[in-house]
Amino acid sequence: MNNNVILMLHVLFGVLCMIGSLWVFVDTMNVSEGNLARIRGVSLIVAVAMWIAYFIAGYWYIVFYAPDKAIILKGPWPFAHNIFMETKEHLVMMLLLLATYLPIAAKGRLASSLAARSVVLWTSGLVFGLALVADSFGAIIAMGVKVALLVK
Amino acid sequence: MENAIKNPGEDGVSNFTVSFGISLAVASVASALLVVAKERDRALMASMKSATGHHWSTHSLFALALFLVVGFALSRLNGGQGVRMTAGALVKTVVGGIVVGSLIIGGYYLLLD
Repeated sequence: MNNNVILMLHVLFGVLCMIGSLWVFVDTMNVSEGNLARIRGVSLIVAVAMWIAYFIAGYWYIVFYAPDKAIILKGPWPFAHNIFMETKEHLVMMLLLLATYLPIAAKGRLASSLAARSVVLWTSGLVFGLALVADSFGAIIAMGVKVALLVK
Repeated sequence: MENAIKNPGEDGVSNFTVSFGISLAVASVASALLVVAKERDRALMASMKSATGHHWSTHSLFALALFLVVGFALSRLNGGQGVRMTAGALVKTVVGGIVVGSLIIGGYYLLLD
């Protein structure tokens, strides 16, 4: 498979994870017996999407990233790798654990317990925030390659 | 009908939610500290590379294994009732673990590397 397709699949599942976490957050704000199954279902989708995004990203990072890294480091934006890629590749480990934890937290008595709801709200909010950071860092890394190629 | 997993507490937060919330915080901070350790110690970085072929793969397995082992271990405490903690304290633990872990990782690459 073309490595650009692999990279785009990684972004696709990452964004799915991000949108799903926002869905869980909003649905939990308005929780009732009627949407409980949906909250738990989407929480599971968030976890699965993150795992898929993580495996695809790991494969791409290990197999295809080295040439891009070399290009970035020779270009005008070496920080795109030295700061943003290095930080991103480790932040996403926490994001994977958070996304895995979300369906566990969503098993609580959300409709009747403010405490259980607060755990899900904070967890889904953190997943959304970290996913947004990871997505933004990915854009900076891509720009690092682009500006390096432009000055050649 | 809600079906909270394993020993839901009086506040509706289950044993697994508390146990894995704590393990999430522990694994996040430990993973961040491992980032600093492997970047500072070439022997550690080399051993992590040789363990799976890439330091990132080994690091991922470490974080995941710690999350699962600590989570299941905590859920078995108190005769299977798990750790007793209020939801407020749990939220502070989870958010604190993620924030501290993120600051360690971001701070290291931004300021020290």
